[in-house]
Amino acid sequence: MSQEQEILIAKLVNKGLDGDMDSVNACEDRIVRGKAKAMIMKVKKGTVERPPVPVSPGEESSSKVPDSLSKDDMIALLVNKGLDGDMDSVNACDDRIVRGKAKAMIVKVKKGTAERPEMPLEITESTEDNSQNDIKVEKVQDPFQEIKKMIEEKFPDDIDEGSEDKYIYFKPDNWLNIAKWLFSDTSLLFNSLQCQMGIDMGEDILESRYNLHSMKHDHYLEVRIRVPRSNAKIPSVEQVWRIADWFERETYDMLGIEYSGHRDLRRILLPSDWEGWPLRKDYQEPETYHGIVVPKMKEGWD
Amino acid sequence: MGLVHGEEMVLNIGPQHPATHGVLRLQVKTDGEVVSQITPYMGYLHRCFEKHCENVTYEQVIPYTDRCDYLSSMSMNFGYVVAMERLMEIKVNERVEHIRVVMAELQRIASHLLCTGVFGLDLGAFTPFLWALRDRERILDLFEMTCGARLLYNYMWIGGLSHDIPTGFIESTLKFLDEFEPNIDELENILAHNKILVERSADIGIMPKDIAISYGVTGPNLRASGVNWDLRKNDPYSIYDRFEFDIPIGQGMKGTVGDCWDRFYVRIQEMRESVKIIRQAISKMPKDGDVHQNLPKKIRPPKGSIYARTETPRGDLGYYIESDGSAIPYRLKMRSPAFTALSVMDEIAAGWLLSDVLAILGSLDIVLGEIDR
Amino acid sequence: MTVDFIFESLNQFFPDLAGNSIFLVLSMLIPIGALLGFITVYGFGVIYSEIKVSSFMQDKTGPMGQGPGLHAGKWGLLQPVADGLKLFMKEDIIPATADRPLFILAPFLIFIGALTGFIAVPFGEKIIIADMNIGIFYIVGIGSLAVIALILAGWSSNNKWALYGGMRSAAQIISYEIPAGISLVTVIMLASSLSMQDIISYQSGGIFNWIIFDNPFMPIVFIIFFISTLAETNRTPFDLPESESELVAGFVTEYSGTRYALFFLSEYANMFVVCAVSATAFFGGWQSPFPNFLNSPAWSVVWMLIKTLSLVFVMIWVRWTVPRLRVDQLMHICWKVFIPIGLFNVFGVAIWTVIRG
Repeated sequence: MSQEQEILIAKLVNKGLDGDMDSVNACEDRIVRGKAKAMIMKVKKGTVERPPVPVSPGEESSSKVPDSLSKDDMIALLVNKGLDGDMDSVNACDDRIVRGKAKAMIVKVKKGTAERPEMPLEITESTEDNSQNDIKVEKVQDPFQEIKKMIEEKFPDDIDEGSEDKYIYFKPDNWLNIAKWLFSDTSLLFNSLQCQMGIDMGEDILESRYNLHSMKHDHYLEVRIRVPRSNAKIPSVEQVWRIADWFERETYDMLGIEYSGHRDLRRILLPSDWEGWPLRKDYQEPETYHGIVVPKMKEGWD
Repeated sequence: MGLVHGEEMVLNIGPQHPATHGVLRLQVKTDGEVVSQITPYMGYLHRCFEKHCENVTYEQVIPYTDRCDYLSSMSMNFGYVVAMERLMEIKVNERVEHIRVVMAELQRIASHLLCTGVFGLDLGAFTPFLWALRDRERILDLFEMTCGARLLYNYMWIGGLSHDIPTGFIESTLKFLDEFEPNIDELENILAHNKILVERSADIGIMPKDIAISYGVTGPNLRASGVNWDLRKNDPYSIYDRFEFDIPIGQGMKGTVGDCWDRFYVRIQEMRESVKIIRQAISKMPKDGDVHQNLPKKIRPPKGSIYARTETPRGDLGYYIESDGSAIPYRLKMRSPAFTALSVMDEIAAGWLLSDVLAILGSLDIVLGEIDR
Repeated sequence: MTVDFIFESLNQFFPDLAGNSIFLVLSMLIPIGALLGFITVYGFGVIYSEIKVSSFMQDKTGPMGQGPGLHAGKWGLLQPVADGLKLFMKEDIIPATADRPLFILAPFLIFIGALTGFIAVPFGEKIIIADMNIGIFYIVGIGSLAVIALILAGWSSNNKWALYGGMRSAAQIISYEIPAGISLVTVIMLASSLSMQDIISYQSGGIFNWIIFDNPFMPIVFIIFFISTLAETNRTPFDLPESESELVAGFVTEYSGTRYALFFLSEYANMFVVCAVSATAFFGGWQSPFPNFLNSPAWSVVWMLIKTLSLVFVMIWVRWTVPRLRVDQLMHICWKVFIPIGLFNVFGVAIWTVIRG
């Protein structure tokens, strides 16, 4: 396994995990392709860590460039890079014909039978394009980051454990005020509570998660609030989003999280005299209900 | 109506009642015929869907999703499959995408036919109900041709479909669409523009925009209140961004914007748009492609969570899936559109007569299977 | 007429027992027996036609059988027999908290109200059980007996839904008697008599002598009368009292078996009576449309039945087409639309009659 092949595998794995399976499939080398695909599967499963991208940002841009350049310019670029010592970018080129011609020209130039071609002028422009691409990439992530910044300025008391994904953890005490601010602030305007659910994360933690959406600005936010099992009390936000009334009743019904300030917190799906919180992981089904015995084993199913 | 007050009477509509679309109990406090408060009691159809999902594998969840909203099972499958494919980053091939769109839109037509027919039935028009069911039978025949089932399909799998469409399906579908389009006009004439039905449903149960958004009402109910929001256009999933169709919005043609007639009429217009989408999808469908091509060998999503929404005939259906890396979901929550639609009942139906309560309930198009899960 | 005719013919056939009071009783019982036979046949027929007509309107075929005894008889002809048998064989349930005497009385009262209207319906020149000189007035009066029965049914069931249904229907029937009565007043003005046979003989002489073509107000009068009688018999669009989808079954919620069958049958009997009154008052009764052709007594029965049953068919047709009205809209139409138009019609016809001489 040469180092070139390993680097190529690492690049293909990263491309594949980013969604670009076509470049993986286009690789000529069967062994490299197979190993790359196997590694992609393993990383997705979680048994192997994603390998780091083995090229510097300059080479990244050069491997992206071939799409915009003509074939001759591409050959010229690769020849120049190869002559400068960077054979990896030559090997990383997808087009077999271009690669072959570039390598042939490098050999000829080194032998002296051909002259070194000029660098195509578009390189400098394309690097600028690429830097703009990078800025664009950051902008896509921006709404959540901006919202997060605004929240951090206004309410610095949040348990900050979700930053790469799209959720924020809050402490339960001040949640009602935060909710009112999220609803009414003109640049946020989260006027729609999409979904509210509770989840038992094990280890004595219950979470209540809110998916918020703004119909005007069309941005999303997920809020999570973590409470211990023994003292599961969260302020109710049903004044802010009216649907929270029924969502919170359902979470109370299934998980036992109490929402303080709720006008009518009672069970909604189960009968009002049911005992226990079914969706908790340590829930035991009752033996009887009003004298009816709950059967445990299904007889006669064979 | 407000001058002579009698005693307040507490009446129970349901749980066994011909007009409640399922097993629902509405406790109604009335003063004579005027309703002062409505409290819905549900849970009669609760089958512990979310707890079941924590004990079966991801593929085995799909038949359970069918049974939640049994009148539009394809859409329930579709929502789950879209969420799982986003979580696992699977991309399905073009043929699968087109077939999924065709099935989802056929299911939308079938569900809207049933809803409009039942709305007429609740108000006493017996015949349009049977005309609507006649057309729905033909759609169910198409589904039976494909996957063998008429109501609960288990058709859309994670990464593909369970069966490819058989030969003759496309011709039958196009033939059905040609014969169905005049039937929409017939249904509209006998039902939507009937003076008595307009009297019974216009200006009744008005749902203003801000109440609709605050109560989380989505789908045709929200569009009838004048809000231009359809997930197929505003937050496209699958290949919906490639098709051209309009979004019908309530305009208060016979009364105020957001009344029962608007909700009813928006559904009739949506049927026409669905016919357009199906025709475009069939014409663009690739001829070859294997529907089982992208089925993953083992479904083990990466650790994490996802919330994905799709547009079902009743509104937007959300699946929140939390995965811990194993083959069994850690937690799966289904956010059903009918749940939010029922919650707005007390707000918009108080102050009307008893007959109007049933008209409003019919116009909200709820299915108890999806509310109770 | 018929009673006298039978009495005389019995006297002729048995001259030595003439004048016996038994003959009097017999001469009343025979036509009533014939009438009951007719009502039975009519009952089966109208139930069958309701099922079949509604099925064809709904684009399905309805009950279809292969022959007697199989499924529902050929073309489903045995279906009403099966329905009747099923209803009569059901268990008779009386709710424990219901008011027993009133609960049992209500179906009988409504059946009496419907059936006794039949004796004043003329089927021919001499074929009428009781030719009273206040025929129309009598029918309208007896029809109001239904109101008492409905209120009793709703009240005695001790059930909120039934109470709603009973109250609604009482309000509806009482209100709609007024436009019906006003429309009949115009007919009576033209014919100058309350007797059914007199009204019919006023319309003798062919189709253009029928009252509906008499003056331009008459079609409007007929329409108002027809719609009011739809409300009288609790048919859609006025079937709120028994609306299936709203009040479970309205005032008949607690009734089962034979008692339910009595309510059911009396609705159809009532339909026949009011259609017969329409046919008499507006379409010439048993008169043939051709002046001197086809007017033997047998043919007059046929003409009467044709006219009445066509109107019954229109009632069935309307039922399966339109949705139902809400109770306040119903009242609005009666009091604010029909009664003013009805009164206007009365004045118009009166002035027309005076001007025309």
